[in-house]
Amino acid sequence: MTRFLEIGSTLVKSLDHHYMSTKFGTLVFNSVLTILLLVVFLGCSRVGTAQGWSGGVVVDESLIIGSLDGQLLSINVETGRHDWAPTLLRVDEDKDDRRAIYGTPAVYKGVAFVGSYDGKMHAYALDNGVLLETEPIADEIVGGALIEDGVLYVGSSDGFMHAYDISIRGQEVTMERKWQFQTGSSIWSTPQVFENLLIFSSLDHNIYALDLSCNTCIEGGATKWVYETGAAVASSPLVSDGEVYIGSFDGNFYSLDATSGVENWRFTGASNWYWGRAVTDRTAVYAPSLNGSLYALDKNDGNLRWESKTKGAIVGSPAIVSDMIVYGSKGGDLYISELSSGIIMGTCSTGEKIEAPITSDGNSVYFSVRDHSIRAIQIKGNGNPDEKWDAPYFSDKAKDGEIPNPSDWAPSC
Amino acid sequence: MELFGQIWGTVIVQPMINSLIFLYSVAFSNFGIAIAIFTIAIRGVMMPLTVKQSKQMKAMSALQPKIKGIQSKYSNDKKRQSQETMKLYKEQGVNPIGCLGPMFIQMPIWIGLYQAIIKTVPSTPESLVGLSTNLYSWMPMVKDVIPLDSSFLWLNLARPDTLPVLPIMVGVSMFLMQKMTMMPAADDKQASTNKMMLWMMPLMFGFFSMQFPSGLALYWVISNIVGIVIQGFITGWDPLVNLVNFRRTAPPEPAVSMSGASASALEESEQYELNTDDGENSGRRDRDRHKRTRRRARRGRNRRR
Repeated sequence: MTRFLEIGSTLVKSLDHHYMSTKFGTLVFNSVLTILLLVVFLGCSRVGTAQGWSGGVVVDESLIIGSLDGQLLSINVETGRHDWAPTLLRVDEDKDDRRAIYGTPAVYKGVAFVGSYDGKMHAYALDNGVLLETEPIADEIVGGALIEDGVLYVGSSDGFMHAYDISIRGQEVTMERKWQFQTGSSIWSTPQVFENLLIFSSLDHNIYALDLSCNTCIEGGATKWVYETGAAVASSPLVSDGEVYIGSFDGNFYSLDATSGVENWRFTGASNWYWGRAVTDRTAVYAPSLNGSLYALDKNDGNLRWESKTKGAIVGSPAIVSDMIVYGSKGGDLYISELSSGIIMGTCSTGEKIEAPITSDGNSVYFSVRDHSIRAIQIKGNGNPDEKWDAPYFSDKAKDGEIPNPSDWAPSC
Repeated sequence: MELFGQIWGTVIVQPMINSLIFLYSVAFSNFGIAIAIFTIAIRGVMMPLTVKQSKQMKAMSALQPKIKGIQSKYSNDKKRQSQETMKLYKEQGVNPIGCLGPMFIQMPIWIGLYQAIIKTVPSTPESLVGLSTNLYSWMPMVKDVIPLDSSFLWLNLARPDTLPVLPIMVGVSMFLMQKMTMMPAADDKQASTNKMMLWMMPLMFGFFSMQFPSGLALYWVISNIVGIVIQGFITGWDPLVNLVNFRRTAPPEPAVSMSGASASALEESEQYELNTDDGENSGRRDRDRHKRTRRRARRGRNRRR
């Protein structure tokens, strides 16, 4: 870099007599060259800042979802207006670049629990948005939390699965550590419980099942079963009918017996990683891949029923709406396909990357988009998508004190 | 623009990313070592261009006094000035934009390397998703080692150094690199630009190092050290030696530095040499000049005794 600037400087001198006789000209040339090189050198590299891709959960008439600006939002699903003015997650001063939410909030007894990328678990009162408790858990939290029988389970990037006893008395929330279990790498998945087994994946290539009936066993590092895939696993497990369905970075999608961890079948047709959690209906499992395809696989044998290709990686989990499946891609399009055939019945271009999971409440879907908006799309019976709200909810506007539902917005669906 | 981005990614960035991952897998799963090996390898491959570029720059720099003479001689006739300058270039076999070729070949490689390091050690889940599109699926070790372990010594290579050790190392190494590569100033304007660059760039990059992933800062430090070594072998170590000597003998400097007739006589002879020498001999000339400077310093010390 310095070499180039020096060359530029020397060039100026050599060309000085012809073109740039004034001192001002040299100064301008040097400045422009320096700025240009810095912009190219540093700007092109796009050093990533954490923004998040939280999914949502619909409680009564409200969508509870993390925004790309580090807020927990409660948005009325009919109007698209917030129930209470959102506040930014509280982070340490030196972790300001980690105010991001990747996991889907967990709701328990009127309190929303959400983990943030700076490693804290926050508890918000759903009725007024008041922050009730913040518990530092680890260095980073990427996966969502699961609350089962008053115990909160969440994984962290330092490789630990944490269990906390939750106690809620009025506006008072306490989180008390119950146990923690260490894996070989980051846990970015949201755990699932099946018959007293806690099932989750880790970037150390393994899928774990812990026996929740024996806390001391877990503290001692004992597992019910461990299944090793060929690469890291960031995807969250889907547990259905006694089977675990999960994809790995090795490009394989696995079906395992939830009780024993024995492999039933694997699908090897994808050319890239699996990231989002799969969804299922009665007969098939639908697995999104970063190669841009959504695969419909037979639940019994893993045979491919159909494949739907999109214009970008599918990062988030799809959602089933009656007899259709809705999924978004990094290409910015939302797709609606028929469950039985995979035929695309409708699309809608948001113009920005869709990386978050899709949330459904029956016949509408909700998701966040890279332009800091939360969208609500009504899926008609024929598969046509329709904007549900007058305007999306832009969390960056809410953050800046502006009205988050702009009046001059043109519908994209 | 999108097509350019795709070509850029396919031709420059992706091969570098996959090479870095390959090196990581063979270098004890240590990304710091992988960055070091890769930076040295790239520097080695680029060495012929670096040497050629240095020679061209030196040749151009050596002609500055003659050009200055032409400028003052034809100060009222810009056209003639230009003609004579071009004639001089032609006579001396110097192409005024000759160093542009190597520069333009090297530049994409440095920018690509910079981007590859950032993308290979993702600092966020978003960037890990982005990495997936840049990997060669036919490379068996790729799926085994992702995500890379970003710890190296006290550093997390995906995050800035919380201690300011690496930023200071970047600043110091860049200062020394600047010192080694800086051409002798032909006039006051050039001298002031040199001085500005000498301090501005280390400070600026030291500051950047506090904001960017330390993997990049590590790359800058290694790249600078390798650059200093290469430059040392091409043009000699005198700038560094002089820097150390200057620090040691700073107080009596006025007595050491020549003044009066002897100094001007020497400078005149050097000026004459510059005026008569050609660009190809400039490396040797520089080394000779530094030797003379050292002899001059010794003479000064002897005189004081």
